[in-house]
Order: sequence, then C-alpha cells, then structure tokens
Amino acid sequence: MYGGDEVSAIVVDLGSHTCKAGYAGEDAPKAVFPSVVGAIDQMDVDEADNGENNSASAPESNNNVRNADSDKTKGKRKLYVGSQSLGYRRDHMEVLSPFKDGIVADWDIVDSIWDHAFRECLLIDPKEHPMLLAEPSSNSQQQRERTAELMFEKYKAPALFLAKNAVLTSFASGRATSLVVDGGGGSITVAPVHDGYVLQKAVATSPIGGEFLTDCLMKSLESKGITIKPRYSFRRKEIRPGEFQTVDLEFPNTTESYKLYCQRVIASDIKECVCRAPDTPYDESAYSNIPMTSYELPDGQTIEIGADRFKIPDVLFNPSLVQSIPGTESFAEIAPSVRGLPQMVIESINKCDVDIRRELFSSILLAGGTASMQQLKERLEKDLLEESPQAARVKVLASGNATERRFSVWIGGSILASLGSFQQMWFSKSEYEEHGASYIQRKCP
Amino acid sequence: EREPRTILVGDSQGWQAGTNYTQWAIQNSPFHINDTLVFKYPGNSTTLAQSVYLLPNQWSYITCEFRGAKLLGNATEGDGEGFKVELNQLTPYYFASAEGNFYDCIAGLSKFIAVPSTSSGSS
Repeated sequence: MYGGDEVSAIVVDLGSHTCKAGYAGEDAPKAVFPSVVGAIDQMDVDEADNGENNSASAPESNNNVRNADSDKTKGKRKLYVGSQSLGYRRDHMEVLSPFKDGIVADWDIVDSIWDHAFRECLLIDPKEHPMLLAEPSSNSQQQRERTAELMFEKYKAPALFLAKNAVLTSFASGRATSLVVDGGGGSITVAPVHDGYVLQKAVATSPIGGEFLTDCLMKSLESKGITIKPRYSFRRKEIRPGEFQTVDLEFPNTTESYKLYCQRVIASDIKECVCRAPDTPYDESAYSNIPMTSYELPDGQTIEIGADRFKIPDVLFNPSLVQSIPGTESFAEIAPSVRGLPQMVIESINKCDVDIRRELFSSILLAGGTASMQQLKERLEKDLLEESPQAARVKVLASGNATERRFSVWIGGSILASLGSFQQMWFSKSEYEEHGASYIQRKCP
Repeated sequence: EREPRTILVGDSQGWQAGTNYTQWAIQNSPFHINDTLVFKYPGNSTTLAQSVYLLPNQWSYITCEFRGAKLLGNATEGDGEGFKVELNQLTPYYFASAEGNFYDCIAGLSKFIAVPSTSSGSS
C-alpha cells in the first residue's frame, strides 16, 4: 500500500476532445490541451521539415508552460503534442486521435500525451507523484491493465488509481447516487451511479458529441456558400490605416486532416458563441425568419447565422434532423439507431432497479463541454418532465459555473485524490510488482 | 504457507475515535487471508463509547456514509480480549467507527481498509 510522504497527486482526465491535467486539491486543471496529436511519418519526408514558414495560432486556451514544441519520435513517426505544436502547420502532418469508438486504439499516442502533460505542462517527474486517472465508464479490464503497465513500467509512478468519469462527476457534486449525462467532444454518455459505482448494464452512449455538432455546423455553412479558411492559409495585409486585405497562401503539402482540424477549431468557436438549445423541438418554418447573428471569421469575413443557431443544438434531442443538413449522407446509415438525449436518459433509468429510479430522476447531473451549451439544461428538464413517468420528480442539475461543468470529471478526481482517507486506496508500485497489472481490478473497483 | 497473524488494531492505542488508522493500516499492510484483527476498546469507559462498523462499499468509505453499514462490534464488545474479526473473504473490508466528528472520518481518521491478500509477501 502506498504510504508516501505528503506530495500532491496528479489528476489526469484524457477525454475524447481535450486532455485535462493538474494537481489534486486544486479547483481547476493546470493544463488543457487537445487529445489529438500531429504525426509525420518519418519515411515519407526529409528530416528537415520543409515549408514550416507559417503558424496558425489555435484559439484554444494554451496552458503550456514552455514554448518548445513537443517533439516525440515514436518508431517511424514523429508526434507533435499540445496546442502550440498543433497550431504550427507542417508539411505532411496528419492529425490523429488515440481513440477509436471511445476506446484507446493507439497507446503510443496516449503515451506521448501523458508525457507532454507531465514534462511540458506540469513540469514534474512522474515517479515522484501518485497518479489518479479518469477512465471511461465502460473501460475494459484489458485497457485498465495496459494503463497500469505503462504507468508503472515506463513512468515509474509510485502509485496509481483509476476512477470512472461518471463516479468522479458524481463525487464533484457530493452525490453518491446520480445519473450523469456527460456531453464530451466525441460522444454523449449517460451513466447511472449508485452508491459510488457505475451500473454498467444501464450505460448508454451516442456518437453525437460536440465534434459532431461542429461538423454539422460546418457542413450547413458550406451549403450556404460560406468557406472557413484555416488560419495558416491567409495573411492579412494592411493596405491603408485600419484597412486590411486578405492574401491567400498556398501550402500544397498540407494534409486534409490538418486542414479539417484547423477549420473545426474555428467552427467550434462559432458554435460556442452563437448556438443555444431551442425551447421546443426545432421546426424549419418557425425558425426561417429569426434575426441573424453576426460572427467575424479570422480572415475578416463577417458571416450571418440564423436558424442554425437553434437547429444544430437540437440535433442532440432529435438526431434525425441531421439528414436535413447537406453533406451528412454518411450519417444516414447509423441514424435510425441513434436516440436523442431525453430518450437515452429514460432508457438508462429504466434499466436500473425499480427502487432507485426515483432517486436517479431527481439527480440528473450535466457534465462536459457539450452539456454546458446554453439552455440545454432547461430543455432537457422540460422534455423529461413531459416524457417521464408521472411519479418521477425530474431534476436536472448543473453547476452554475460553466468551468466547473466542463471540468467536473477532473474536479471530482482532484477532490478524491486530496482526501486523507484516499491515501490507502492507491494501487502501489509494490503491489503491482507483487500481484501484477490484473490486481487493478481489486484495487480500483 | 504462512501462519495467520493476530493483529491489534491501533497497536497499544487500541481502537478510538480520532486516531489515524489510515496511516496505521498503511504501516501494517499487507493483510493476508485469515488474519484476525482485534479491536480493543474499553466498554465501560467514561470517555466516548466506541463501536466497529463495516461499510458496504468504497463510496461509503470515502464519503463516510453509514447508511447500509453493518454494526460488527457494539460499545461493550471491545472490552477484555477485544472484538475479533477474521479476514476470511478476498474482498476489501471497510472498517470505520461511527463515533468522533465527521471531519475526522472525511480526513481519513477513525477508519481503514483491509484488503486481504493470498500471497506470501513480506509482512
């Protein structure tokens, strides 16, 4: 059992969209950076990176302490991690995610992300700090063991604990029993937590997450003739005081995935600025004449957004709306099986024991960046009041602070790992050496 | 095959509210299957009466939620030879005292976890 001196644990929440990392006991993560990385196949290009003469500064919050790029050579790939590295265009750089369908598929990328968090963001030596890692609610035993192996063998962590996202969110709100609705970048997850444990059989997941909504918005704007120019693709020249002209720049060796990444960053900001959930289900005719909202793109072009402000968020509640957005034909295959948020909540609760359903309906917690969308709480509560059993007392809870909602998983981990009583919960390095990685199931139920 | 141990919880201090048993458990681990834990506390003392509870799960342990907890030893059973618990299940045991103030419990005092192991590690 870990019995180390008083030293802060490190809490890491590697989500599908962003990685959050920081010290236990603090009220917000120190570092927030993309969960995707840049990758250049070393066999395809010369050692000298050609064409690196422009930089697109991502509007994402940059908590990197050091300015140096994070270069990590993994076998025949060179990986670039962090907002700063990803904000710098390179020839032939692909943008890759470590996840596939919510499960880690590329451990080298996970490794490089952790390394970046520890050594470049937090500036710590991982062998000096116990590590609390948030994990998906339905993480497999194999994934957990792989995590333990990496942490103990490579990083020499003195102790480790894995806690499920939904449990940490529940903990951050001070509840032992709740229904956690976690709207992340890659998916929406609905997970019931009962007495501190996730009820696995009732966990529901939908592929409609924040990134999906961003893509819908991009496609809708494109169908109206609006092109989002990546920041690296133009330069603004002042031709007269206060008057600018945009000069297009050509970088033919830029990958499609990097271009899409840069466009998504901008579209995501548009979404966050103008979108809000409509009070009632979106109706094309009712919304066709609403006032437009202006948004200035980085290249100086001002665009007007109207019905999309409400239509895009309503996809969370009515996924079939996607089919009315041009360019989303590939979604048609899975559309029939995707349920809206209220349906997911009700189906999840109905899979739980009858005795706890009432308690779950009255403790629905919103978490994650996508669940922080304006008016989403009010809309979900309204829909559930209409669709849930008469006896249920529906209560949708959300922290009043958008930051707390966005980082609720990390905050729950920060609280947990800072508790005095937590100190004997750690899966210690000596236990790993004695029992092996499979012991993690006993130590972190 | 090693001999099961009989371990006095809290050593010479015994079992009393406000004591850091988290630290004690760390120093006295690992526990092994069939070890016996002895909770010794005075039954007729003028100080605060003690009891031994088994909490149902990890969440209850962390949050000091005694709903669903099982009373193992009441206030009078810790006298004399003390109250004995044999660790005969390969599952975490979440021991706690309901006495003392709530902050003690949240902070890690007045409670500990014993996770019995089957291996013959050093004791």
